Amino acid sequence: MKFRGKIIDPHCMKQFYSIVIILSKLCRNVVLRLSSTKLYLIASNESNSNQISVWSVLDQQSFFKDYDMIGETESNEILFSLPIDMLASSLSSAKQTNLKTLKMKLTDKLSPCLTIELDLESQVSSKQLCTHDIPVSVILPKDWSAYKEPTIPAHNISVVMPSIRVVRHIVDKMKRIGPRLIVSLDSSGKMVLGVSNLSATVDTHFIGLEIVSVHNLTDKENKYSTVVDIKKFSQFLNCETLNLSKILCHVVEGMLLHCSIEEDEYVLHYFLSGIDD
Amino acid sequence: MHMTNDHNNNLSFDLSPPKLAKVLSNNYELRSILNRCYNRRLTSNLIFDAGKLVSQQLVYELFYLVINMEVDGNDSFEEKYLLVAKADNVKHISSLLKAVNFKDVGVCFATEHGLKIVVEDSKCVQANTFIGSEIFQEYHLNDDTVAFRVDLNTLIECLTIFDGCSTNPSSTTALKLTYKEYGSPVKLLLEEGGIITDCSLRTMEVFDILDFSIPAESTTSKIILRSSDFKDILSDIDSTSDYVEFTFSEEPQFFKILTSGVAGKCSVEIPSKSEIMEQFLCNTSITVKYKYKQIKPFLKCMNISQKTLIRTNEEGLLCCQFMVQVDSHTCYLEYFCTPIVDED
Repeated sequence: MKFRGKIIDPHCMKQFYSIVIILSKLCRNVVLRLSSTKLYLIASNESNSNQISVWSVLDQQSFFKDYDMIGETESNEILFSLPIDMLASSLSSAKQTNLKTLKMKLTDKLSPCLTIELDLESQVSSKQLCTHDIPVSVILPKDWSAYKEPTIPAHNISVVMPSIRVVRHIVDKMKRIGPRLIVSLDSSGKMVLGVSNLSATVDTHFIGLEIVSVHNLTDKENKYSTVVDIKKFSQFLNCETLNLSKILCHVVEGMLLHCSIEEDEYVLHYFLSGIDD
Repeated sequence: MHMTNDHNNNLSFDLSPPKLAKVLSNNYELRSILNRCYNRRLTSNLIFDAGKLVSQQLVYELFYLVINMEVDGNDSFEEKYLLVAKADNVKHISSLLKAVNFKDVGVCFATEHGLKIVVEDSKCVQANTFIGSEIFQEYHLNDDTVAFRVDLNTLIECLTIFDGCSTNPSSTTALKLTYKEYGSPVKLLLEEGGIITDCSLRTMEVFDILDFSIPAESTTSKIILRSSDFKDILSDIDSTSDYVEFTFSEEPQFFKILTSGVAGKCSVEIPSKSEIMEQFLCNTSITVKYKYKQIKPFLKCMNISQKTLIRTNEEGLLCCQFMVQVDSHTCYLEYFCTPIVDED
């Protein structure tokens, strides 16, 4: 088992860092799955371990300058889990401009570790090398089945999310009113966020959203909705690095709210399963 | 009525002419655009390409009007509702409500002069704020007085839902408040930047509320202070003290605040000639104690007010009035607080 990777492009380092930051706000432990072409960051639902809540895929070639790995099995993959907040804090220098290279490798120190080597350039001395060792636990091939690509259910409707900053502000206000958020999307390009408690019902309407796809059974207006835990949705919206991304929002009636960011070099899916109303 | 907006920005809806007339009555620009469309098609079903004909802003406005109509239902809505109030900027209203929100539930009284919101705690503190009808751009009342009780926290949460959403500091949230009949919910319709929030707040029965007042003839002392300076004094007083003692002294003339906490006694004396004191009137010297936690909510009011008027009567009932400037109008916040009766 062997892995080493090197990122030198500042943009890629920032992007990698922002993906790690998003994950660190949503969960504690993340499974890193390495294959010869792709790097996966997978987070499972902490209360229900069989369910994947974040699935992100990074294209090895567009992120890494050097990428070298040898897996143990025929499929040539490595899976290990690590505390994501440690990775996030190790990478915190990635947002600085003086970072030259970011190296990652699997090492065998006292326990298996993911070693992060940051090569910083400073004005005072010529070179600074910063090394972090993050303990990891390697996942045996017999347990790999839990981390295979989730089958994305057929969406009833998909739209482009309105300004994330506005949605975040509104959801954060609604969080103080009630614990359950009803998200409905309809085929006219309207998104309604609703919350209610014993004394009030509040709905916010966003109109004129771009529709990506809609499962149209009939010609008439179709509306699909799902109820989710408002705290979890707010957690996702509060990932600051999301601000610049175009986020798609998908709904499976009564079952799932699925948000996705699809860029050329990486994909990130966030699944929030519906709760009983 | 049916309205759709597909992703090509084709806004289509079907409206009957009288309803349309109602929608258009207050927007000249939209009226001329729609008239043009009507002339072209001559049907009651109207479909036009919003992207070509009107700006996005106008589409939002139109949508807002149409939504408004759905809420209004029939044409003669003003007669069907007990109360309809519209305001361009909800911020004034929410900041006044926040200042009296020291308890969860408030009673709302609407009279021809405006809205009065009263909040009470354990029959000894009462706060009220009066939002004059001039603060609203439209204000219709179909009864002498309309009263209902609402959850104040949720009301404020709803009114401030768009706070911080816009990066443009000059954008404001518009409000339309309707109350249909006794027992029905209060409906709020808020709009900012084309996003609409509609809220329905359940109302509760109004119980008797305390009738606190200090008529001018029974006022024993009256002082007017600058709020910003009085806030500094009041926010510094010892929070470990159970009570706050106010002394209005006739000769020599001063106003004194005394606290007694774990660190000892502490008093602040403001002479009548102090520059923060605008007026000082005192007929008889009086010393009264009030509970610290009942005085503390005053601080909220001072943040938004310019002047504070403090009055007492012989029994020691305290009345604090805060003057708040809203655009060119003045609104008032009022706190009444009963004194602690000494055991001995």
